[in-house]
Amino acid sequence: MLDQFSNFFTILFNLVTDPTNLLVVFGASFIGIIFGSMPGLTATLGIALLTSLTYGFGPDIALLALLGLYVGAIYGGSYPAILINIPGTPAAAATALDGYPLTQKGEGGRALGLTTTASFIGTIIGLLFLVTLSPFIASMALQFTSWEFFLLALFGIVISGTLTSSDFVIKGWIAGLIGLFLATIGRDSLQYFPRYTAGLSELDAGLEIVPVLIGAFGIPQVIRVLSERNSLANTPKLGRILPELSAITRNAKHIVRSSTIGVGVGSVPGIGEDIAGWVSYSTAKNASSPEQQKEFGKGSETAIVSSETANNACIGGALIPLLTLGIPGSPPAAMLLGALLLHGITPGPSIEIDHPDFLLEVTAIMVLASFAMWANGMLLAKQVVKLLTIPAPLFIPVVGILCILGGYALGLSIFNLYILIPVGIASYFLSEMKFPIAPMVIGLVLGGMADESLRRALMLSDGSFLPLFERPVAVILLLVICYFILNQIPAVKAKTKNLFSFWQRKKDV
Amino acid sequence: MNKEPSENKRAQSDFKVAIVLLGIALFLLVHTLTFPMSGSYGGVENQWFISPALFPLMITSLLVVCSGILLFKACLQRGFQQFWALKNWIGDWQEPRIKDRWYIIWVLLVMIYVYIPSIDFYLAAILFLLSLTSRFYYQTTHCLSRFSLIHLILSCVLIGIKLSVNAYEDTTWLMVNQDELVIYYSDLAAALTIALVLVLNWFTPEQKDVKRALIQTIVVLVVPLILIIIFTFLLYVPMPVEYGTISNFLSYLVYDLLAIQ
Amino acid sequence: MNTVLNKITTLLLILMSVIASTADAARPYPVRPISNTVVWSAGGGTDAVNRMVMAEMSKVLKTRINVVNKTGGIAGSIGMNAVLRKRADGYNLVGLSSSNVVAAVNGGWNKRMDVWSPFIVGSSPDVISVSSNSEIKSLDDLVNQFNSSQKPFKAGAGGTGGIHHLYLLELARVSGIDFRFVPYPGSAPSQTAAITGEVEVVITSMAEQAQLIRGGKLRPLAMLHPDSFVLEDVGTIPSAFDKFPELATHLPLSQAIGFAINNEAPKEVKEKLGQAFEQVMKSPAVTEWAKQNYYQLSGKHGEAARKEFAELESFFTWTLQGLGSNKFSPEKFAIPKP
Repeated sequence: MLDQFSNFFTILFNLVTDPTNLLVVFGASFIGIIFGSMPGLTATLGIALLTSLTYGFGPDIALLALLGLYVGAIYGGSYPAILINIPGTPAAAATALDGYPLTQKGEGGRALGLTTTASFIGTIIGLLFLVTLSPFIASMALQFTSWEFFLLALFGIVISGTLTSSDFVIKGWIAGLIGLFLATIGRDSLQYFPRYTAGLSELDAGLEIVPVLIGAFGIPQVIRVLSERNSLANTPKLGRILPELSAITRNAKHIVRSSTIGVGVGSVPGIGEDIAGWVSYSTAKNASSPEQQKEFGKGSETAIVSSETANNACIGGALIPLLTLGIPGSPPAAMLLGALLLHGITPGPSIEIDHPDFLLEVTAIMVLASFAMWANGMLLAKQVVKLLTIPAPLFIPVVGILCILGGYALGLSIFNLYILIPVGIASYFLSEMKFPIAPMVIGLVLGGMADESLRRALMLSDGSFLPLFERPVAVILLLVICYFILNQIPAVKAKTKNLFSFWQRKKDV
Repeated sequence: MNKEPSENKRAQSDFKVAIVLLGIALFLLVHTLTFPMSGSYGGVENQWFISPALFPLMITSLLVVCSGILLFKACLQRGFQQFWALKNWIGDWQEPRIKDRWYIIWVLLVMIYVYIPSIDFYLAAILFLLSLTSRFYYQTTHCLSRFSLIHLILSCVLIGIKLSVNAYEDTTWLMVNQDELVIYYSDLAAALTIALVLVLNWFTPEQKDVKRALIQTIVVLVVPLILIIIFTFLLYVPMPVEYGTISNFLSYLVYDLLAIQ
Repeated sequence: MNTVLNKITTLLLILMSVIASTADAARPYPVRPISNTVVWSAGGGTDAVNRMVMAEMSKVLKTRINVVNKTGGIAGSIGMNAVLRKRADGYNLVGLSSSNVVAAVNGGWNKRMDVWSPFIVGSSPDVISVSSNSEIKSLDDLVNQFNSSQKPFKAGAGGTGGIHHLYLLELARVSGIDFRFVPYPGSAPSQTAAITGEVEVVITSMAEQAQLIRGGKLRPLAMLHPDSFVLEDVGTIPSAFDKFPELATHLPLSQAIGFAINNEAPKEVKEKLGQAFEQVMKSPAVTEWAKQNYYQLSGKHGEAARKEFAELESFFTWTLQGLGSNKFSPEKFAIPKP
């Protein structure tokens, strides 16, 4: 163990002393933040681009650039989420729920400062897990068969009910169901049967998540801000951006829990940052006191800290199955795998034989990348807040163009735009009628997995549900799901009570 | 007493959404019942639990139930009142917010379904920015009716060009223009429209705010250009209409004249 | 002043369009950056091969080559359609693999693969494996266990109609073993399923499995390739062809990965690309990469590659027809029987 540590610091020292390395990692992290903050430009796209660009350099420089960009992009998604309520990446969508209300109160700068530090801490804690527990977590990830995938997806869908205020639980469910329905569009992956495609071959592969996300959050925001002639924020207080230690210590338990959730979700192959933020957000809400719960959705610092910590801790989590099993834990990690293969590094169980110290090297690079992200974030946050002083009627149409370009750039498909706009307009009207939009996006992200895993699991068990109760991880997940459902019931009860008292009053009149 | 009207209003809108959702969900449920429930496909034997209909059936039935509950609740609060009043469906036309809302939606629809697949992205972006900033930033008078009309005419012209002058027979109006002659004519029409709008904006007599007009014009012309240059030359994202006039010119400028590789 | 400004803008626009339409300088190909549209997603096998080869090609051609991904449709039909509609000027390549040949019969598009002039980089041989906790140690054990229990094996092999699935079907046909195919959205998830014990047997390519085999997670039973394979730290993996010579009637199909150009592109362009491709395939970067990733290089282009794709198209589509999992008959596109 001690050997490992001294080894680690030697590697880190060697990296830091070369100015080229520092330049590369800072530059990549900066580009990553830009990528994350533009709606539609995702970490996956950024890594794809850098893979080609860094091909000519050695694997060290390439890794520095790629990981720097990865960390930066996951973090950068929080900028537009907090400042204009349009999450740049699916990962940041949970941050928007509470980040934007803070901006409206004029505390955008403080929110950015908080998320920067939270992201940093999240990344580092994720790395700690990567270094110390990776064999254990990898073996846990291997406990995930189709049943567990189904339950995990179900869990994500169940928590969507907690994302809304209790008055509108039924509307939250409806939004979630709409999302699930959108996920079933396209050819089903088991039998290749076209579902709801109306004969359009563009729909065969299903709906892409990013265009729907931009449509669901970006377009309503454009329509709302312009038509209500609002400004985006109150005169921003350009006060402290620097981390408030007190806020961090106040939320210490949330940070620890969120990082664990992030690592856990990230390490399960196939899902990643998209969902970690949501899970962490709703767990934080459940774990808070009733007074704190009321703050959620109205600008709670606990909320943004929780979702951002989880997002970035997810990176460490996603790297665990990637490096130890060669199985990418999230879409950007899949792209990273491709990049590593190009440089003749094949991650997997035999990585320790082929490239000893590779795990430590990656960790050292990641530590550097987190520092670069934090420094960049601290420098940028103050500048980005100033964007809010641009008059909204001038700024928002440009954001509209960016949303359109972003929706198209992913997959270079104009059909994405044909989906983006109807989704956007529908989301606008639904949110005008007090339907929450977040459950719809979660439904879309997880619906495919739930559908496919359930059917594959049933296919393997010949239609029996028994394995659900025989597998330890499945049982644990089942218990957690039950807990979350039961936890929601008082809210439902309160609602029905309200309804009845209202009915009573009416009668009296 | 004060709360009553707003709650009733909420119930009314809930009632409408519930009706619409219920209709859609029922339609989808019926459609889902046509999915194969048995029979082998692609070497995978089909049983009820492997059927592609399993999950959609669950979702659509839950959706029917949930919309039913919403409908029931709205009924309890007399949401069925004024169901047929058009005003309650599209909003009160006297309110500027409602007018603005439909104007933005109209611009978005035209932009996505007509301009982007037909003309160079730069021109499309200018048209989009011009129509939004003219109404909300520069606040041109008669903006609403003028722009709506201009967009309508230009859309007709563009779709007309696309369907009449085209080498590919299977072209529909939603397809991206590939025929370079079509792109050329469409771009020309769009460029003339932009010029017309700019002239109108600058020379409407009642406009006096020269500074705003200048800022608007600069933003509208320069910002999309920067974006396009970044996307095409740094991010290697070809524009939707790849051989659009401006895109063509830019790549000619950068690659052939300046020989930047 | 402003009318002047507007007139100038209008004039400029018209001028620009005139220049642009006549633009195409006389300098020899390639003058501009080439764009390579990969029809499979970023990070996958086809994507990795294309990014590597394109990086080397750009050194030889002395121009930039941008690799973008355009996925979707059926068997990559959307990306192929998009590239086919672009100018056939040699600046638009498409990154594809043998899995694209079923696009037509599955209703993705209405073209045959002969619209392309492919450049085949190579492929990796398929291998059949079981989890390392399994009692099955060899292909014989597999057959014996089936004969004694008559219980079908749950088998993972990527998605329906993919190359690994076809291998599975061929093996089932000649060996008489009953496999129950469980589709997964790709090779990696089927391998994971084999490790977790969700399926008992898995067929994917050596490139995809080598790490798991060497790391002791999977145990290889046999190569589905005429030659045996020597894997460092593991030893020699025998060929299934020794036990079932009948496999040779249809196999080996190579999982041809590479890129292609519109067949209507000018002859000079194809020649220039062909020369560059040959040079790249011999370069140490590519041979080293192939060795590390268990790829067998092919290097076919021009007529030879077109012929190989025609054969693949014929075998794949008619096998799908046999399975009944296609939308249109191969006859509709005049694809000959294998």
